[in-house]
Amino acid sequence: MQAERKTLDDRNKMTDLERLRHSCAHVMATAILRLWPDAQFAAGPPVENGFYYDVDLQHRISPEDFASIEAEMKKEIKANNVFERIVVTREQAIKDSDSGRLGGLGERPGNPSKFKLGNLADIPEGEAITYFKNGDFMDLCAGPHVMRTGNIGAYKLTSVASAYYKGDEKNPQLQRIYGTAFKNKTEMEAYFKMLEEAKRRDHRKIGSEMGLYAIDTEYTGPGLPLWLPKGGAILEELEKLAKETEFHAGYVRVKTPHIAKEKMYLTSGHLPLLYKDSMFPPISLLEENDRARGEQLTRRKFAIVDELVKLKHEGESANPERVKVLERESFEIGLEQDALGERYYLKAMNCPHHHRIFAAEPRSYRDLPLRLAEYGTCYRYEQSGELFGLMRVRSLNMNDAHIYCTPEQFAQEFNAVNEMYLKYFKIFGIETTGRRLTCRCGASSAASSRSPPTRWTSPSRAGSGWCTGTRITPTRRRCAFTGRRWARMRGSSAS
Amino acid sequence: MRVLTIGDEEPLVSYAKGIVQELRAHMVRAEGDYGNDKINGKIQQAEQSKVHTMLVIGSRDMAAGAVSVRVHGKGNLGAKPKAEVVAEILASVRERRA
Repeated sequence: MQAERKTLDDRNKMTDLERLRHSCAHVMATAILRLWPDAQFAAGPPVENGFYYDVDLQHRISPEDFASIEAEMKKEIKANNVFERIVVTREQAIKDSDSGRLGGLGERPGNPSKFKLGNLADIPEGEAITYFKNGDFMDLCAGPHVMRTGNIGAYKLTSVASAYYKGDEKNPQLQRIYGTAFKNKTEMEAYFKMLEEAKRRDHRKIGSEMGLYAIDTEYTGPGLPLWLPKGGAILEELEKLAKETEFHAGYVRVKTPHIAKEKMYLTSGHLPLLYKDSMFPPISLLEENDRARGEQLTRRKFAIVDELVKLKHEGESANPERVKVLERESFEIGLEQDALGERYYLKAMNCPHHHRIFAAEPRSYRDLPLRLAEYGTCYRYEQSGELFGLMRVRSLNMNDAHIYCTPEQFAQEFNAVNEMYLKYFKIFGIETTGRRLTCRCGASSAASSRSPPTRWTSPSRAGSGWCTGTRITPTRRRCAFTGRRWARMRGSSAS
Repeated sequence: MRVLTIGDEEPLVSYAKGIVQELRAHMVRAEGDYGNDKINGKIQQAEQSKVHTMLVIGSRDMAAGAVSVRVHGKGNLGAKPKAEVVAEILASVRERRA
């Protein structure tokens, strides 16, 4: 999806390099028009490592065309044309789009700037409509730009991809030409050298050359790495190190199944909403005839939970009657679901399982702190486009631990965990600038209100209180399950 | 770690296998290359697979109860008595030395 439209304020914050790169996108458009005058341009923003411009053109641009486009760009930069800002009225802009003048070198009768018309419609009333013009090329653009085309010191086209206009698949498909630009040649060379180095160190390359792991998309499935013996050796050694370290630090090891009933995730709050998209679809043990009824019940239950959450946000006392009715219905649905059969989910996190271990036996404060640790295999349904070697996968082993402690024990436990991390980082030569502790301090999102707020006694005050004696400074942030370990730590000690 | 024989003749191969067994009994990931390829080729192959420690054994080493040690990134460290080398390997594993 395309990012939301930049506000003028965002635009003013563009760095010098972004201005340069965006200007280079205009220069590239100029060059493409010199070669293919009927090209229609859509959007050409700077991006993380360069810029792109989306173009609609009969000719399929390929990397073989880059040299000729770059040659035309060179002429435009040599000409050192000024980027001239022109303020126009909306009527004028529509007229110039109709005539094909916008995103063109001149008027192009019969070839209106259709995408520019669409972009124009996105500019809110009252915001200035501006053109930027370099040489013959005139474009609808809010800027900002560098002063002259000659300010672009070094540039290179890098790749071509396809994209939908405004990121919507219902819109026409465009060619997206990527390039990058720098103030000077030295900086650009350093950038490409860095890319080469990254390529050389790419774990996917090393992984297959050394026979560490394989991803068999056809039979095992994408994102589900198979560890080959040599990779397995690395894995085993890492686990051994962690097991020894944690044993030394007083952790006890547990082992939990890879699946769990839906009820567990409804209780933890991962379902129905928060984590739904990251979990594999459920394994249903419902009989064929009961499946439709089962689906219906689940959908109703999700709706009830949503409404309850909404009601609780408005305050417990807002509508106590309705809350009671909903809770009653939810309970009855649960009974019917139990009678029908079960739905199981592949676990995407170990936390709820560990909490059931905590709940499996009567606990006394004397058992605290209780430190549970496991190498838990988790499954997450990452989008296929997000899968990347071992960095983004659908099955992963988490060296996971949960600590159950009293508020008084928090500082000591926290510091011990912190020390352990520092020890690992030192062993592996990982330099870190900071870590983030996430807790439910003052959490107000729908996601974090699953546990009744009453269980969190003055959450934010308690939170900062517990941080006394640790080396952390509390900052308020939304509770996220990426910080789950800390969030859970609080939850357990407050209960 | 890998034990490499110079040639594929007995009793050299049995001697090499004995060393592999001894190390594996101590949970050291040892494997053998007992083929009749040229020793330089075997060493090169082990280097490419980034084998940490190579023990190269010829009939003369066997007669002297010795092994030649090569460590990845450090090269040939020369011949040493077998018992000494095994003890050294076990110690470096225990202490997680590089």
